Amino acid sequence: MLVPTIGIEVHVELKSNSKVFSRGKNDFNDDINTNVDEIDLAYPGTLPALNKDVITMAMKACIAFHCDITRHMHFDRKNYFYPDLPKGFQITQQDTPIGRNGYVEIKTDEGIKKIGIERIHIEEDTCKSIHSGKQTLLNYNRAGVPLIEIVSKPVIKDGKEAMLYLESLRENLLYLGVSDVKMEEGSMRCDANVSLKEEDSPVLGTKVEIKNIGSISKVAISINYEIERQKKILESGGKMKEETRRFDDKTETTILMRVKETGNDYRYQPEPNIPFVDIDDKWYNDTVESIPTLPAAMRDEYEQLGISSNNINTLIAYKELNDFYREIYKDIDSVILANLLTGDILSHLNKNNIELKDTCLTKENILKLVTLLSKKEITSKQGKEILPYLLTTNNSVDKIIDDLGIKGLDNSELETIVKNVINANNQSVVDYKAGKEKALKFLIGQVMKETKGQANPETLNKMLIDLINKM
Amino acid sequence: MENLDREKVLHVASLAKLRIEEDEVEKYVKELKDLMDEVNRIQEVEIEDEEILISPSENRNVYKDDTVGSMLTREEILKNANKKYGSYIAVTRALND
Amino acid sequence: MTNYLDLELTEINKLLKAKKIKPIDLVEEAFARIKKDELNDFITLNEKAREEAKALENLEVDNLLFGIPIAIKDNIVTKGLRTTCASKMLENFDSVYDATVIEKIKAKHMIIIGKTNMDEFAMGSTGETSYFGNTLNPRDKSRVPGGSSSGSAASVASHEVVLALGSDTGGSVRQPSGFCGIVGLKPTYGCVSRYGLVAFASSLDQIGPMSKNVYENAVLLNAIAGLDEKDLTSVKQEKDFTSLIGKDIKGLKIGVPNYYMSDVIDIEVRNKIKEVLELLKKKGCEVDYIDIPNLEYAIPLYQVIALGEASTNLARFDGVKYGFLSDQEKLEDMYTYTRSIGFGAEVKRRIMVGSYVLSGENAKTYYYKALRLRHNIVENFKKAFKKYDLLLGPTNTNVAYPFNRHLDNVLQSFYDDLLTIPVSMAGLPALALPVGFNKENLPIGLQIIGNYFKEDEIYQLASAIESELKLDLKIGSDK
Repeated sequence: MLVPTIGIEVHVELKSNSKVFSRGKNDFNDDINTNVDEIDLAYPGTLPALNKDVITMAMKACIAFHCDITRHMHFDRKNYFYPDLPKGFQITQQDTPIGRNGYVEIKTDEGIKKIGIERIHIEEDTCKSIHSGKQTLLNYNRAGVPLIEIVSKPVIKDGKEAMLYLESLRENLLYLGVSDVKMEEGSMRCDANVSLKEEDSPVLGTKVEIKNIGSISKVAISINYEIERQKKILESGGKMKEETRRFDDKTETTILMRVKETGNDYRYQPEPNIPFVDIDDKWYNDTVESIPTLPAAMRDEYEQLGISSNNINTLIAYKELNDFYREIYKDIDSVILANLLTGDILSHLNKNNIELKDTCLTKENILKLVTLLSKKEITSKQGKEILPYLLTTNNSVDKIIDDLGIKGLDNSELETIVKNVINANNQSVVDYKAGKEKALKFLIGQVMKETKGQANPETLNKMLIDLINKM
Repeated sequence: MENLDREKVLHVASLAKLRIEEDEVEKYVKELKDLMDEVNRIQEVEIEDEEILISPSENRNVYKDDTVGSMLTREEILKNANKKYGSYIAVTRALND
Repeated sequence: MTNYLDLELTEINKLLKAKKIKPIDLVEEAFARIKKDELNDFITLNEKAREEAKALENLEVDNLLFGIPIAIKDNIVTKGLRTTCASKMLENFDSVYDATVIEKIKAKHMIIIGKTNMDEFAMGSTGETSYFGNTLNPRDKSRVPGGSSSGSAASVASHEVVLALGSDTGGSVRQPSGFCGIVGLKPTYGCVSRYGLVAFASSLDQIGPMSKNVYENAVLLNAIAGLDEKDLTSVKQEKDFTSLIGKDIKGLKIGVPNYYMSDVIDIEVRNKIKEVLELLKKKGCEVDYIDIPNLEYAIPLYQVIALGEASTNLARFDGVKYGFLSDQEKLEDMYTYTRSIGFGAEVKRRIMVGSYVLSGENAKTYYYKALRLRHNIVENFKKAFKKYDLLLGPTNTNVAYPFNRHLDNVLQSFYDDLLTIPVSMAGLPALALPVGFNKENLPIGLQIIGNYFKEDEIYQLASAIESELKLDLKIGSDK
């Protein structure tokens, strides 16, 4: 039987302030060709100057992915010509990648599986190029942006696993705070190597590289497509060629880009301009300590708190919401807070295409709202009415309640009203005691009418029954 | 030592992006051979030490700050470029698809 | 024509301070001499030099280098003054930034007279690979000035300028200094920032001062040395490199590697060096002949490492961001035509060798073996410096020779650097000092090699020899 072998290479842009070997600004979305200095433009006479924070960020990723850290490193030149490569070589780490031999855990249908990571190394990004007519146009803003390349071991068996692996990488990198990891903007880029072999064969099959896949879900689609394509070729007696293909969004197929020539000859060479990087125990330990709580630990904690698995996934996926959540969840009803954030608040953000920081929501207000809800002083329906004003105005919860005419009824007020209703409707009390459930509904209706619907139904129900029973 | 022939010279020229005209190939083969005969002498010396020297500099752990420094103006960026298109530096099309 | 440029730096400084002369007088004299000499030692003259000299007139003469004309090798980038590396590739290249050494000499208010001719991309030892034609040796115009810092050496030797900057990868400051009869230093690797020096071989390149005498060399080194955050291999320099000049040399331990006195060295050169050694013994120095293992491999080592680095350093010249472009319909043609037309023959040959030693399996066979051998040579030098303060030998195997001698010999340009390359491999400092002339009146250079960052000790010994010999180095003088 033919089984697939899949390895994935992921490039992740690190969000340092300046570039990895220059002090050009690390933001390639700014105006075209503005964040560029003479080093980024590979001017004659320029030399690379290494950004220490980039090493620390890469080290964080290595630690999060359980890699062995290389304590004595140098950089290497990878030589090839391409218009997007200003120096004619890329500075990378061939001999001494910062991390080796790590893994991430994914939850598959068969349980937890470890996906091995072969290596993580630091390198520089290339120019952004646009191909237009007979020309290629070059934007150097991206040249020299720090990257880490994460190379998996060839242990992934299908598109689904690839997707889980990438989601886990993405989530962890996001929470490490080292990257935006946005595939659609190119701060996370993914190439997959797919080959098929007979199950009991020790030799890997001829591999095909799929480049530039635009989203995590499309990685899964493209891999599954490629597996089927290769199966058909091999099962009909065909032979695979080592080639590079790209994923086509429209047809959801892979298209041949080029057949690879016999091995690339990158003429790797140590970079003499960058002194050795020695990671001592203090630097390493400080980095370990700076690592925040990561998604796996958060998931466990949230499950303990009784948050639904849907809400857990939503919170983790929206880091901004989750960060907000984590600032206050210990002080109040964490389940109600999770419901609000992943429900009405998230849909408000999505509908208006904004982020949480763009709203007027304050910690004080949300704390107050959750407290009122958890003490049942307002109804969840009332909560829903209040929430939009918390997001769009600077008013306090109290002011909004006043403005909306929602009297946050306290129980003594409610009791007075309930007593009045009972006194005015003796017949209904008698009917209820005789077993007519409808009579109770009538009484509740009367109270609601008096309170303009502000009574908490649950509280009211309980209070009414208690008072009738005492009579 | 591998055979330094015409094919090898053309391969290296393609790596280095140098154009070698037909009538120059033999000259390059000869010159490269002469030089490599000399270079091959380093094969004869035996050194026990495995350590490599990338640079005579004994500096270690030297970095720049992670702060943004002064950058070039767009005019300066484009100043010496042969081909420009708006704000871009332009070059012969690199990709055919 | 005035003769201020024949004076010593301290004398010129006195005249400037006393307002007896102005910087513009020095500039005019420099330009007049360059025009008269016709050595082709400058590729570009600084059109703004007069303007810059005028602007200095109202400033206080606050240091020895104030207002002093200096020549800059044309592989050190200068903003507003083109930098060609003597190549068609950069024929019209105007940098967008100044090299760190340029910032430093500008801070001293030195005046750049122009950019000097050189071997293309510093690859050569005669000046003959320049796209802009040969530089002539001012001592004998039928002979090469040496290279690659040909124009810098020629302009100092002919007193067209007071000082010059060159660059030395395998001997490119020392060898032409020897051929032209001036003082030239290759500092310790890391002593002077390389930021803005167009790279040939990054692990070997150093910018070095070139001068008429030892003291002025040290003054210029003081101005350009030191830590630069833009060059991670640079090192803080706190000492005054002139401080040991004039101090007694008695008791100095001097080693003479046998490699430096072998039969391949011209007999007149060897005899001149022996005379100096005798003199030093008389002055109370201990002189021993010693063996430093594996120096004989320095040249093949250099071919692998220097050319390997050069092949990648020169990859950036592709006609896209700057420099010559041969525009073509196909990208591959654009690259190959641009680089084949833009680079001269010697540069292409060296790129080919460098690419070859790095390609495929060769990286292991040659490159990594070379890096190990280099480590070994460094260790061997270090051992020698445990016993000796300084090492001595000739700078060159011979004196300046006629043009066109090496055109068909691809190895000869490396063999010219037989005695300078080992020092470069180790990153040690070394100085070329004129110590006499041969029968044909061509200068012979001594090479003084110091331990790491011991340039001050080199100057101490060099200055002692200089004042003992009292050579008249001025061209045209009776000797």
